[in-house]
Amino acid sequence: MPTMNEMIFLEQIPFGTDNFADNPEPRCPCLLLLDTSGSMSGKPIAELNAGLAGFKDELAHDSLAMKRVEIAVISFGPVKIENTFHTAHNFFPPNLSANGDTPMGAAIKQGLELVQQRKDEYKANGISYYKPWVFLITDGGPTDEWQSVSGLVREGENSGSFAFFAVGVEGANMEVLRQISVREPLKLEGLKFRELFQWLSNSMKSVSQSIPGTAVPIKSPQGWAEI
Amino acid sequence: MIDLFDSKGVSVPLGKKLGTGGEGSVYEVPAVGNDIVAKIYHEMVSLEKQVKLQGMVKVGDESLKKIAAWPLATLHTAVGGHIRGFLMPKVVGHEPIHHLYSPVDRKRIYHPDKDWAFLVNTARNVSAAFEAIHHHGHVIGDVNPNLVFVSGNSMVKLIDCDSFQIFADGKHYLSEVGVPHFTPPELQSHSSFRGIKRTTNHDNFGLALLLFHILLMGRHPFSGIFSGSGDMPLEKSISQFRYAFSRNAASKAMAPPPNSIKPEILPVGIANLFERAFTELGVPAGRPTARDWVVELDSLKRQLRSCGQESAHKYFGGLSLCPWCIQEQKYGTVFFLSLAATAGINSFDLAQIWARIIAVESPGAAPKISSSGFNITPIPLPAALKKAKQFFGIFSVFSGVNDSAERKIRQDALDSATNQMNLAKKSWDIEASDLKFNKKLKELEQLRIEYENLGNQLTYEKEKLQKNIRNAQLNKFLARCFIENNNITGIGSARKSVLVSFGIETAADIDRNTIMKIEGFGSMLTSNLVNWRRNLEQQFVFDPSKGVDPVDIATVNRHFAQKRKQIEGELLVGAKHLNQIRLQIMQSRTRLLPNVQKVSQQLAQAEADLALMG
Repeated sequence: MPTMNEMIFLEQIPFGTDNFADNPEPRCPCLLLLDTSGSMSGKPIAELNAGLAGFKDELAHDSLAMKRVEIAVISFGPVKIENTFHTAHNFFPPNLSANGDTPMGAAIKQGLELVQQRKDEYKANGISYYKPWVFLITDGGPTDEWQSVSGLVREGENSGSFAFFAVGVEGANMEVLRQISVREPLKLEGLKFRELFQWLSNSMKSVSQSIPGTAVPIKSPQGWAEI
Repeated sequence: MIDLFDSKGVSVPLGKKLGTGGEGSVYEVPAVGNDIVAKIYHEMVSLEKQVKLQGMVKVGDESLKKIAAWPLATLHTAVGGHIRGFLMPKVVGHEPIHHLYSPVDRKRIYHPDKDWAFLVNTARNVSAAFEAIHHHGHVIGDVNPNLVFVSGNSMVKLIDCDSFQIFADGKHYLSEVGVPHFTPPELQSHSSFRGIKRTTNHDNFGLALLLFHILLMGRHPFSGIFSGSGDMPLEKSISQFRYAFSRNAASKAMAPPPNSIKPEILPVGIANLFERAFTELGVPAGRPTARDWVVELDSLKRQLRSCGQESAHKYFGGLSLCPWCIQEQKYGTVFFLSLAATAGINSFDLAQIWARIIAVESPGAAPKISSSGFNITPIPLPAALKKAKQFFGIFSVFSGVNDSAERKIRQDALDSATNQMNLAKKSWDIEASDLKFNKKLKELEQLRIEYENLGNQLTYEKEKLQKNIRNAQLNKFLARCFIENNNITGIGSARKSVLVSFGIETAADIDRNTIMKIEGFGSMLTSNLVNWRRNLEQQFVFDPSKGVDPVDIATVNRHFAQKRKQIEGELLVGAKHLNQIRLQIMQSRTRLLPNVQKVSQQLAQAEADLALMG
């Protein structure tokens, strides 16, 4: 058993707003799974990057959401953790580049693990949290094994562990997305990534300050999705 | 945009939009006043809500308007038409309470200098605001972190009043909204607030929650470690009275979050109030009232103590050790910035900043470049020429040996090398010397001198204002001393009339040069008048208390504050800039040196080559 003085050195002190002592607000985790396969290169990836940058700016307008919303980013093509969960304050949008194939199955699997890991951290630190959101954006179809992942998504949705949204960009295999996601996948209109992220930011703000009894007041994705 | 009218039918034009919420937008209404704004609903307002708003206007008294953005007058879409919005006091200079109770926001962004004493006082004022609402028979209902706004001196205002439950004309107009994390256990099971009459005891739950956040570093009392199985979201934890910081938390399978500040740092009386507010004891009517909180918090205010180690630490005097020191030592959590640390944010330590600037190492003078010091072997002369020169020896110049072609080649080479050398030297002098560095340093030095002088200058400007005000007061005083009513040696009524005809009526008008020019007023009479004025001046007593126009002072202050900020900004980045310049210079030296050496050597060669020509 270490003495009190040794404790000072053993204790890890996290950085920034994510320090739970400094910011004990309930967290609202949001995981972005972003397709960076070769077909996204050019305008699509540029628009996606612009959308990500705008996402942070949008959240910054709401000082309560800033303390509550935590963002993580995983890109796939190949699978890479771009950002682990950080409050919007410490979220620095990555600059994604497109190449490679579409290992969507592996990305989802790793993403769900990341969400579980963060939830465990919340629990260990006595921090409350809202239902995590997982947001998958792709312009293709999985080039790896995805059938088992679809089971994980279904299980998580049913137990209320997270909400899983799939968004298909032009060229996406909507049929597979439909099999992965319990919720009806949405089709992105053109390259309206900015509108999508603005909507996502507004939704996160609403989620993090919801009114009981009424379903979370999320606006229709009209404006970026083909519905 | 729709046309709006007040209840008397007077048109109310909307000004700039200030913000938009879920229900409506808020606008300036310059025609009504600068301290008034209008809230306009996005959609038609239900008849019931319209009656509620009218009731609010009716029951709104001075005490409510002082502590809340209370509706002052209804706004109608037509003369006598439907209500679509209302006027309310503008809440300026206040920020949402979560900017204060969140340690990260308080320290980093909004209130770095606010200590726990400030938080205790804010908690007290929040309670007082709740008490004012309850005293009038109203209930807030939707208590949440965005409802309470705090000013820089801890004064509290409540917003979103139209969502309150209002008591007017013997009727309760309901509040139909709420935030789950602030909803009391007995209401958690309801799927909606529609039709539910709220009580002050419900509000008192929300109030206790806010106070817990304020006093205990933004923690939610129901957020802790749950040792049972499954998730324990806040709503569930609240509905099951799982107060994580309770003395009996263990019996509810709860424990406070690790390393958190706990109610033990509070007087027992306050910890007891929290126990009552968050456990079964509080239902149905047992939660501490706003008034209970005011009493206990006032008592705590009187028992606050400053830490001997760190004056930024304020704590309850009943504790034997400073809880903030313990937090820092045990967990490395700094909840209150020390005054020295705050200084970095709020004020500016010139000595420290300057020390940082002069600590930047100078790149020093650039190494001298010259064409000497090279081990040069001149290019031998062409064989024929060499022979001729050897033959004629030193007389070759007069000998008629024709070396002009060779000489020209060598001269041209020298010219070209000199040229290149000059160019290289020029860019070397500009980019590789310490010129830029010294210039920047000098600029910073100027700024420092200017900064040190700011205080003097401000005093000077203020003294000038003060002096002017003395003159103004003196002039007023002299202007009340009429020549007509006074006995001045040698100045009879005829001369007085003459003076009046020249516009000289009071002591304030007396000026030696002006009077000397008037016919019949010699130096004697003029002196009498001037002496009379002087005597009066000596009787004048300056009253500094009714002195300078506060607007003038504010302008001078603002001007200097801006200037100060600007210089501080430049000095703050001074060391960084200097270092950047230093690095640039060092890089330039490395970059330019090979060329400089090459050119120098070429020049040396060309010089030696030509010298060989004799």
